[in-house]
Amino acid sequence: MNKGIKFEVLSESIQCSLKETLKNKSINELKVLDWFSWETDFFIEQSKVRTSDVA
Amino acid sequence: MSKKLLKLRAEDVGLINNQWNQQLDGIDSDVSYLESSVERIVDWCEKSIAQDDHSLYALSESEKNSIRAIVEITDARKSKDPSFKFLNIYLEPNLINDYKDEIRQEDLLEGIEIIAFALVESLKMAVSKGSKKLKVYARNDEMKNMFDSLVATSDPEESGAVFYRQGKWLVIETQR
Repeated sequence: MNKGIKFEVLSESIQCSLKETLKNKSINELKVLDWFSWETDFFIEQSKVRTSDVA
Repeated sequence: MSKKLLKLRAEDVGLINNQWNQQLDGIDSDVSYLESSVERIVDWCEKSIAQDDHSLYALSESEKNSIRAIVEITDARKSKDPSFKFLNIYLEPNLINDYKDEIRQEDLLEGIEIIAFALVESLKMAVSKGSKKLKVYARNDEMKNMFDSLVATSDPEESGAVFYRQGKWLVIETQR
């Protein structure tokens, strides 16, 4: 393992950055976390279309 | 630490099927679209683990005895730009915000913690196999904006890792 990398510092830094970016955002903007997932970005949209067609 | 990121196993898929569907049952909103989504994920996991060299990892939490997310990571050390690639993270239904009318602060922080853990463990995996780079794929402009924030706030001197954008990718590269 590379001893030069401080993984705990890195983890804190990523969390702080995400928290800061999402601070004071609207509910819709907070859904940005879902965009990390293809499943919630693309496939869910497809599923919504499919279920609404059935209805 | 109670969280772990390990190669997906058959028993994990059983847990995902049970726990994620139980979570869906407990949600008041109409989440029928998520039910088919989870069904598809479970099916995909079952097919993947049948292959020796699959690229799925389970992010588990021992305190809750649960699988919080599935992460897709590929080993691209033999490509023109040697790296590990973080392609997707599939969050458990409770952490998905799409169907929520209100997002509790603690849920938001938990989601952030899970994503940060997955990124750091993926970089550890890359480094342990001799790679200096983890590349994270952005599927849309919002993710690119998020990546820009990570680049702007990164501190290479302190952490030992540099963040930069390369087209649609966020690159996290070790300096030492």
